[in-house]
This record gives sequence, structure tokens and C-alpha cells, in this order.
Amino acid sequence: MKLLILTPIFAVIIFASVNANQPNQEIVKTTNDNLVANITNVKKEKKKKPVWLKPGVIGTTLVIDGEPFVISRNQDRKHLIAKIYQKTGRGIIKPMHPFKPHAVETIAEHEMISYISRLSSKKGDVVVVDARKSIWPTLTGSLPGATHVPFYRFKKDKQYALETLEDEFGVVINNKGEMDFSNAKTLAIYCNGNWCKMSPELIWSLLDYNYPAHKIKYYRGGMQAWQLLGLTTVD
Amino acid sequence: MLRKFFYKFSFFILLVGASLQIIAQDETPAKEVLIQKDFKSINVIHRSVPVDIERNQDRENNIMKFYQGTWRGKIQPLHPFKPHPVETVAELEMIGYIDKMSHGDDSIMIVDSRPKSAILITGMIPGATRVEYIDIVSSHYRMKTFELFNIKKNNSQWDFTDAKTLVIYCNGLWCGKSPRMIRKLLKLGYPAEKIKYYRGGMQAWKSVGLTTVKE
Repeated sequence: MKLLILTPIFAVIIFASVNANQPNQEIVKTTNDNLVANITNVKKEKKKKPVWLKPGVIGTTLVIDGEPFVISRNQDRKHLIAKIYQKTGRGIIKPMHPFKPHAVETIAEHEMISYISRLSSKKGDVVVVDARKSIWPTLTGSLPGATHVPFYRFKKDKQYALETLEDEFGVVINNKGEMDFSNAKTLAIYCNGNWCKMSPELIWSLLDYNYPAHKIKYYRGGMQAWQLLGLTTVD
Repeated sequence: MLRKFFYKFSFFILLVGASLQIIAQDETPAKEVLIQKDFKSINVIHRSVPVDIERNQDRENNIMKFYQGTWRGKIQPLHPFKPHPVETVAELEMIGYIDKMSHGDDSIMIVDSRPKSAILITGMIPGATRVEYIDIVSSHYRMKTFELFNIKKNNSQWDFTDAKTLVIYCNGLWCGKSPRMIRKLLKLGYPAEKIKYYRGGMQAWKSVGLTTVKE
């Protein structure tokens, strides 16, 4: 009897989904047309000006995990920012320096690129940290060479926090549980953008562990600004 | 035959109708889009007309097409004017300056350094005044502009003691218009502490859905 009552609801759902699917097919068709158009445009625009990183610089070559890697901007002048970052109604706006009076420095793209290039240096004194929840990197990709430390796990799971501090960030913890930050690495932390609370939360909990504030860098623009400029991401 | 069919399944037909109605009504009230916690909007004055600065309350709203492209300009550093101590500000500081200005503080001025054509497309930040690069470079326009900035001429030298605090913005972090203007101002001797650079610009302002006005 229950099944009998449920059947019309299923029918409605199927009907609705079929209806909803129909316009999608049209969209797929149009995007295919666009793709073809784009390819032809690229052929025509080959001689156009490049998209600049800095005046006179198109891309920088880095070494990540022993392999050369080029960070540059997307050279396609028709390229748009990912749909996920076109939304305007997310989060609350963060100030320029959210951690005053702590000396956490706010950085931008050029500094971030130089930190990424320092990742492969012999000193190994830099970690680029992705503070977002674990679904975000699969949706948007992450910065080249980034280490993934979800903020909520670091905050709630003390065991995990101590392990990451010791293994990833170079903090020495002795038997009594005292921490020695003299060899702690410089952390360049980012999340989704200037409205995103994930990296500020991670930075606050790092400050709670007495992590030296001058060794924490906050990339406020985040993934949104990175993709807004068409810079290279990795999956 | 048909009548029998209807009698048999009238219950289901009713049910389908009811469930359709439920689907139509099932719209949860959307959460408000806030600037800060417990801070939804602020009343400021643009050209002596009151304007509310708030974020677009539609959660499905996208940034305008003009700012979706990724190829424009060159990336500006966070502090392009080192060693001059020009402060780089963000949206909240900008709102603070607009608030102070519209509550009678004459020593602050919001400067839009873009040409008229760009402002026609995107609008401008409430309270801003349009001053282009040419208004500072050419000596013909400079008199007028510096009068706006509250700078006096003393014995053929500019006197910057009462100069206004300028908050300068342009299209975004790839846009070179406001850095070029600030460099020129610094060359002319404008005190660097009185210049603020809003690096995010119109793009960052729009990407969080904040209010814009026509010139």
C-alpha cells in the first residue's frame, strides 16, 4: 500500500527531471558550437599580444617535486572565470588585516608565486597550505605544490593538529608536550577568497598553538583571485 | 471505460496534484547576505543623495560579464609603491572611509581613476569622484583638480598641509590606472600617508555583490 502511494510521487519526480533535462541538452549543443567557434578564434588570434604576469614576464618556471613547472596566465583572451567563482552572495567580507595586532602579513599573487618557487629550494622552509574543506580542491583545483590541511580537522582533532605541526610545519615537540618553533616553516595559507573564513580559522587556531605570527602569511585573494587572473592550477 | 478509470485513480490524481503544489511551495526563505556579522547595510551619501550600501541579496547572482574575463592587464603587487608608505586597503576599510566622508569628514575623498566609458559600463562606488590621469598630468587641468584635493599654491609651490586623504581605485588588481596616478601624485610631492590604494577595485567590489551607483 505504501508503495502504491509513493508511485505517483516518483512519477512526478521523473516527469520533473525529464522536463528539467530538456533545456540542458540545448545548452550542451550550444557549448559545442562555442567550442568550435573558440578553436577557430584561437587560430585567428595567434599573433595577438600575450597575457602578462608582470611587465615583460609571461610565466615563471619552477621546479615542483623534481619536475619543471610553468606558472603563467591563461593565454586565451576569451577565457572566463570558473562558474563557481562568479557567485557574489557567499560568506562575509574579511578585512585587509584580520589578525591585528598579530603580525600576520597579508600577501598577494607575486609573493605567493615566490613562496611556491621557494618550495623546492634546499632549505625547504616554506609550506603552501590549502585550508579549505576537502571537497573544494576537487571542485576548483589547488595551487601548485600546496599541502592540504582542512581547517575544521585541525581545529577539532588535536592528534591530527599535533601530527601536522610536527611532520609538515617543522615544529619540534618534546616529551612534555612543549613546542619549539625555532625551526618552524613559513606558512603561506589560502582558501577561496576575500569572503572565505576557512584560512582565517586555520590561522587563528595556529595562533592558539603560539605559532610565531611573522611566519604566517595570509593570501587574502585566495583561489578566486588566482583564477580571476587565469593563473595555473593543478588538480 | 474512461469514467471508470477516473473513478479508480481519482485518489492518485489528487495526490499528484497535492505533491506538485508542495514542490511549488517548498522554497526555504534564503539566508541574508551580510557584509559582516550583524552588519547588513550602511547608509551613505552620494552627491547629496542617500544610498544604502549592501550586498546583493540574491544568492544565485553572478558577477557581471565585463569582469568574468581573466586575461586583462598585468598583476599589480600588493604594495606597488615601496618604499613610499602608501597603504593598501580592502572593502571594509573602503566602506569605513565612505561612511566617515558622508558623515561630514571633509578631509577624505574617494577617487575613481577610470575613464567615463568604464564607469558607464560598471557604475561607481557610492561617494566617489571621477578624476582621470590627464587631470593631474596636464598643467591646464591640474589647478582645478588640486583645488578639489584642497591643495593651495604658495609662491609657485604646492602646499600639501591641508591635502585630503585620497582613496584611489580602478578596475581591479590587474589594472594599472590607479598605480600610475598614485606614482604621479607621489612625484608631485603628495604625502604618501594621505594616499590609500584600494587594490581589489571595482572587480572585488562587484565580486562580493556590493552596491554601485551611476555617476
